[in-house]
Amino acid sequence: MKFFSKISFIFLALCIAFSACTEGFEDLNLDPNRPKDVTPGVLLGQMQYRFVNASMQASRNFTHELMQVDAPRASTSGQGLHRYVVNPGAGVWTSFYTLMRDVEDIISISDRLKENNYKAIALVYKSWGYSILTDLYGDIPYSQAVKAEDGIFEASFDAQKDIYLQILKDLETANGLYDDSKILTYGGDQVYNTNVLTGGKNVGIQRWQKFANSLRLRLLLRISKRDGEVGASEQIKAILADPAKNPVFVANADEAIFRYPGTFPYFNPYYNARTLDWRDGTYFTEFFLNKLNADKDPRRAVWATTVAVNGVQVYQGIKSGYPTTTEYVVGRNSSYQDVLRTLPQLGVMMTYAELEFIKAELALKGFNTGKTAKVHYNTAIGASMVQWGTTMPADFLTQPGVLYDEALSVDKQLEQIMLQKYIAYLFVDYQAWFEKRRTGYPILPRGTGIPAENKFPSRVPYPTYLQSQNAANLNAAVAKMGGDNSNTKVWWEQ
Amino acid sequence: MCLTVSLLAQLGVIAGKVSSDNGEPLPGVNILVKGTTTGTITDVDGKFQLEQAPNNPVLIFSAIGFVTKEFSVSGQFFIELKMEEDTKLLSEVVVAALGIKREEKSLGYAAQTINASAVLDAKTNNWVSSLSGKVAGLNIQGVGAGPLGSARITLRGESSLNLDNNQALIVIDGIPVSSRISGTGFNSHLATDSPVDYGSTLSDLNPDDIDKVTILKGPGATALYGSRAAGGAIIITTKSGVRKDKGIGITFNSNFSVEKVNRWPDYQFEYGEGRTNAYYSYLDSPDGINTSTTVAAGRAWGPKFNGQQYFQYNPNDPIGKPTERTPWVAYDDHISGFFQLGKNYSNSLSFEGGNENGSARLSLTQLKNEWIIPNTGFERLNAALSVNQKISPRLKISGKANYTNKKSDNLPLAGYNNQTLMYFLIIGTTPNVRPEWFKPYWQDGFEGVRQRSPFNPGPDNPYLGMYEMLNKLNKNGMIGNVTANYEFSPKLELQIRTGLDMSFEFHSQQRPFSMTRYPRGMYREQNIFSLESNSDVLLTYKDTYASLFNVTASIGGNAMRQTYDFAGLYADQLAQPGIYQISNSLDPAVADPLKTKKAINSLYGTAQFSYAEKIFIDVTGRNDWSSTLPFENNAFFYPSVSTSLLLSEIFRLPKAVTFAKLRASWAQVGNDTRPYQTARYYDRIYGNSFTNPSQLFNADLKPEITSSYEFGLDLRLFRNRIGLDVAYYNNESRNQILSIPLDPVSGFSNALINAGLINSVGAEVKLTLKPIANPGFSWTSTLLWASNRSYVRELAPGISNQIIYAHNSNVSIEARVGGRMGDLYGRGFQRSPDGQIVYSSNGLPAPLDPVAKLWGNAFADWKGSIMNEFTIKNVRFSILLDGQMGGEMYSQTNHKNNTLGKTRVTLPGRDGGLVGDGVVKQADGTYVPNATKIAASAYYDNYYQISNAETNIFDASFLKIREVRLEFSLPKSWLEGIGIQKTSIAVYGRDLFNFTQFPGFDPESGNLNGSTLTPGVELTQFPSTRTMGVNLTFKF
Repeated sequence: MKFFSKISFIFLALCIAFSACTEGFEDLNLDPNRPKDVTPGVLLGQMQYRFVNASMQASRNFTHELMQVDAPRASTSGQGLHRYVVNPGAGVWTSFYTLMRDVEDIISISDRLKENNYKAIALVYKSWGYSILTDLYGDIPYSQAVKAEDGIFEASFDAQKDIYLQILKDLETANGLYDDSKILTYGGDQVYNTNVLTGGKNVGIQRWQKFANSLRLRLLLRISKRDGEVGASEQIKAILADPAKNPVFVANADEAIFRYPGTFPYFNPYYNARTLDWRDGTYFTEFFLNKLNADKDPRRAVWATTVAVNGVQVYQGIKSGYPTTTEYVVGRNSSYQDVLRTLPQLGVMMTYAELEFIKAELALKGFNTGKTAKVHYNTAIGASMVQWGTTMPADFLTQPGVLYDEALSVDKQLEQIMLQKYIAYLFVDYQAWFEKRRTGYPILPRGTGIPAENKFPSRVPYPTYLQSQNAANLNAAVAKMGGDNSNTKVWWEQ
Repeated sequence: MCLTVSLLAQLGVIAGKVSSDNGEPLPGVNILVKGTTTGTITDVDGKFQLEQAPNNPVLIFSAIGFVTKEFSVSGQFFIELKMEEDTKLLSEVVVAALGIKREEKSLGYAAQTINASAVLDAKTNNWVSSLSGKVAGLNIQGVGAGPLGSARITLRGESSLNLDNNQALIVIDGIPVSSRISGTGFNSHLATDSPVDYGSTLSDLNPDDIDKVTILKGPGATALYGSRAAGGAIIITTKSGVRKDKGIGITFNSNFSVEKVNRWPDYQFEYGEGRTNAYYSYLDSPDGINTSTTVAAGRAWGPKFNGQQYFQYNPNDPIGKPTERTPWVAYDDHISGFFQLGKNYSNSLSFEGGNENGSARLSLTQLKNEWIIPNTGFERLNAALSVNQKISPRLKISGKANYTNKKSDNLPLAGYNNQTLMYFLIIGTTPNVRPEWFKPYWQDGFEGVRQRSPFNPGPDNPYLGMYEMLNKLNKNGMIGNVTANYEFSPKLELQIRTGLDMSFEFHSQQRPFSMTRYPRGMYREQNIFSLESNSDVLLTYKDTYASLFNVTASIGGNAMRQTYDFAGLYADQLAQPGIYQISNSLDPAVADPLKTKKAINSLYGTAQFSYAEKIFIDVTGRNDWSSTLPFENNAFFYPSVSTSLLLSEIFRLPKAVTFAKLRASWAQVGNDTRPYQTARYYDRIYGNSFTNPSQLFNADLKPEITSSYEFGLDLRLFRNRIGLDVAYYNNESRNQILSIPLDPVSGFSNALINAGLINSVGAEVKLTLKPIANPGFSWTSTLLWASNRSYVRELAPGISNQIIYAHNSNVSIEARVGGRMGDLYGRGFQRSPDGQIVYSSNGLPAPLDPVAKLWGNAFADWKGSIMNEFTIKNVRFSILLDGQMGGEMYSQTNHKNNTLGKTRVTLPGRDGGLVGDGVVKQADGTYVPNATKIAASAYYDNYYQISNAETNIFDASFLKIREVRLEFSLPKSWLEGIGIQKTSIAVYGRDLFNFTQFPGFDPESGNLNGSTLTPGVELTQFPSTRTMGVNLTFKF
């Protein structure tokens, strides 16, 4: 027993010594590498950069091939977007949802700090991002998304209609929040200059407001087929009627472009792209280049390389949707200019040209935009020329093929607008495809190598990982939408 | 009668009878006349007769299981001798947890000890791989990432969903050391840069300094290591000085080995470069436009080698422009020519000696490796000192210090990426291209600025990779401890020990201008300081009651402190070419610091009770306080209980049973987490901005708890001629610290939670046979077999699937409830209702079935090995066969080689196309057989596409001739007089042959994902190698 009492005494002594030692443990487990709190300023810039990187690369990798701007040089596997085969989950799903976490943080931190400008900017990103997501997939997680901290790991899917209604509400809210009397307190904005006041006004903040309202017009037009359910026309009318309350883009300087500074670390994502990936595997199509060639469109020199054919430098494209046996030789057709890899204005969210094309369509459909469809159409083309740093040739707008013919039927007039809008949409996320789905324009030729069973896609099937990570909600959404394939039409297209 | 007897004596005949303690006659006892080779053996009645013996010889009697006895004949002609049973054999001492020495018979759990010879016999770059096939239940899995040969070491399967947590705890002389690899942070598939295997502290140990390795397989054995013990433990004891009665105690060992690729994919040598077989042309030529230097290059769908001539690369022209047609032939060395014979030199010198009060040992070892890829390899210098001294009758102090310097001027880039050799070999070259054509790797007039890509411009020039993209390493490491033992009385002893594992590592990566991933070059360096210190105290009390009951009780405590200080500096664009310094950064250099600290304080106690040396019961308990757990809830208790029953002592067993022991144990051990997981932090991005982390924190984290029970039987028959050791275990790991992948829709891509239940069940068998055991000839055969199944019983609530590793969306290792750890999921062909492959109307397999299916498991069904050792006088020969049955692996090498027409499987249908075997779905839903003929290139490109797990996952069963060794010791009589005690020369081979269906290089592989060694998915591994060497040992 003496032995055991000895042991227990020592044990007790050790216990006391050791519990004293755990005292420093709480501080020891404080991360010396990372902060616990941040201002919206340090969140904003990187978020803006990453959003456009994702959307711009999606346009290059997805939209351009599907919309016959470009095509791969060889495509032996029989698949490919140019044959209307859409891989599940292709798109910005993961990158956008991941960034929404920062968007929600900016909103909540701004609320706490009473920084409405940050909140309004974040609401614009939220609306812009979710609109692209829902246009890609249809019904998507929205009201329950980005709520892991509240314990929601498997979000339910919202109907596209409900998402649109909330996005439009958010944009309206944003429109009312902007305060152009102060600079952006913590800085960080990389899209507009919001760090100075000009004549007591923050022009950058005013431009954010214009972007918010221009985006409202884009989205209201997108759902115009469902006018009766959502009152899109009324809202469009209201916006157009009160430009002071609802300002929209009025000049190229207003357009929402993340201009890549070309310095570390905010390089254009293609800055270091391998030649192999950038231009040796993909060429512009005949469809796209022949139109630019016919119009002698000056923008083609910015976009496309020339190749020598019989000693003459020409812009020459390849076919899209060709048979698996077809293979184009490297370097014998026009591809992307290397200068695009460092061009600042590639980071487009929404251009002034697009806003004018929207107005052209609205005017065509009888809305009061203050001008005719033709004037908007011409302004839009000019704005796109300016955006790409080119000068519009004097006779450009009057040449056949470009000249706006007001004598045509409404549908034919729309076709004219949509063809130029499509060209102006280069490098703008998926908008050209969304608009094709909405209007049917431009009319794309069907390649001979596209299997008869392949239809022009109406959406992207959901990412396959959802089958394992959120199966119940996925299945419910699929059942509601009527199938998870690329032929299912989303709500606004039905 | 008397006359006869004396006559016999004169003739030198001695007879006799040998029996055991209890009087039973002993057959098979060896009898040798000392100093001669004359001898005989007893018959079934224990009788023997020795003829032609010298006068009054000294006879040596030996038998397995008995103490060898010398008997001096002094005139007798008939000897009756009793031999004592060798209890030492049964009381072999094992180093158990915390370094406590225990008699093997008293252990209630499985522990296997491996002697130094196992790691010395057939030396290889990383000594750890020499444990392969020598311990049942031990799995050593390399990833084929370079000369340092890092490997995953697991015992008894995968108990944690976090692959890094499953590695065994490595303890050197009582001090846990790191098996962590500080990688470059890049994964193996098309990351911006590629991973480099920089090795770990464990691999730095010098095998010449290892005395023995004890494998504590399960929680029952390791419970005293508490929160670090869930993966089992490998206890390494380094050599201490041994008193020398003869000689001066110097040992010199020299080892030289060569290394060669031991197996190649099944390459084809019948068709050359091109996408079509119409013609070949290097640059544009009268035959047609260029088919060889553009992105079309690298494919081997070109013309057949039929003796025709084409315009081909002209090595005499600066741009290779051909002036004439040359014969169209395949070069057998178009791939193998990029490799060289690897060479390993190792020299080791040790000094040891001592007296009754102390001993010391000093060793120095130098190792140089030139690897199979030119300009890669490493050098290592080890210095080890071990001293112990009794400074008073009661106080003994000892210390060990192992210093390592490991240096490399270049370690190769691993994985599938533009700058790696293995990527180049698949994509960059074809059978009609000679390796030396790539050798000038700068363009004329652009040295240091523009690389030369004479063929496919996609991958970097391989020689640019070898000679300009250097990955350097300089590591200085120290492992050591100081210990003091004080004996209060023969019953009470105190041990105080402090030890550390400290290293300072410098890594750098340099990339030249014009490489594809870094057009403006790159230079990165990392300084990594790593320190773990452990200080412990252990008080041990021993007592015997009524001379039957023995009690040994210990209590103690440990304070562990870990510091990891990583400082990376990155210049990802260089201002000037060829200058690899941070100051040469074009942009502001980026600093990437990572500092972590962790502490665990522990108290533990252990008590062992034994009754009459027949029944043993052990109880242990350990309480850990960990700094990485939530402060309010950071203490956890880990108990164990085990028993050993010596059946052969308790019961009367048949005579054949020499020894029988039943063991059983139950234990609970843990696995804690990394620092800073319990609160929310923002991650730095782009220098000075912040973003949300991808992982959701958890403020209520608990350690993982593994509960385990184990039964085992140790049976030795016919006086140890047959030994059988079997074990069965069942581990349940709960509260898994899971980084569960979240749907990124939730805002985080993963979350840290405690959930899940992994149940590992397995069995191990070790069978030892000694069919022949004569002094002049002995044969020992050891068979090992082990099988483990780790089942996923539960995951987090609402989650039925956890992705452990994903190779993009091509193949993933997933834990699904009801499935097993290591299950491989991926997509496969669409199938018609009757199971045929569905084709599109264009004749190619239809888009893959979007639903991912199970195609295999990364871990073997069972592993087994057979070791045979023969000793014939001075010659020792051993051969180890090692293999596994089952287990599957995805092969990126297979995928890419096949889609590019590099292998023999892509030969059918080359001339004239082929019709794929399957059906086409009609508009009305019916199926008709596919009848569309298509080009072989299109077919195989589709069939083996990267995301088709069905065609790229293969059985990883294998049988390897792991080790073959022949050793010759010079007879002592030759050495006497020149001061040499022992000289041996040995030749050996390692991984000589590899028999497997796996289409890549080696089915024992995986990939290096950052610093995680990942099994099941091979991403263009380096070739596996065959090592052949010669080893010389001199003892003075």
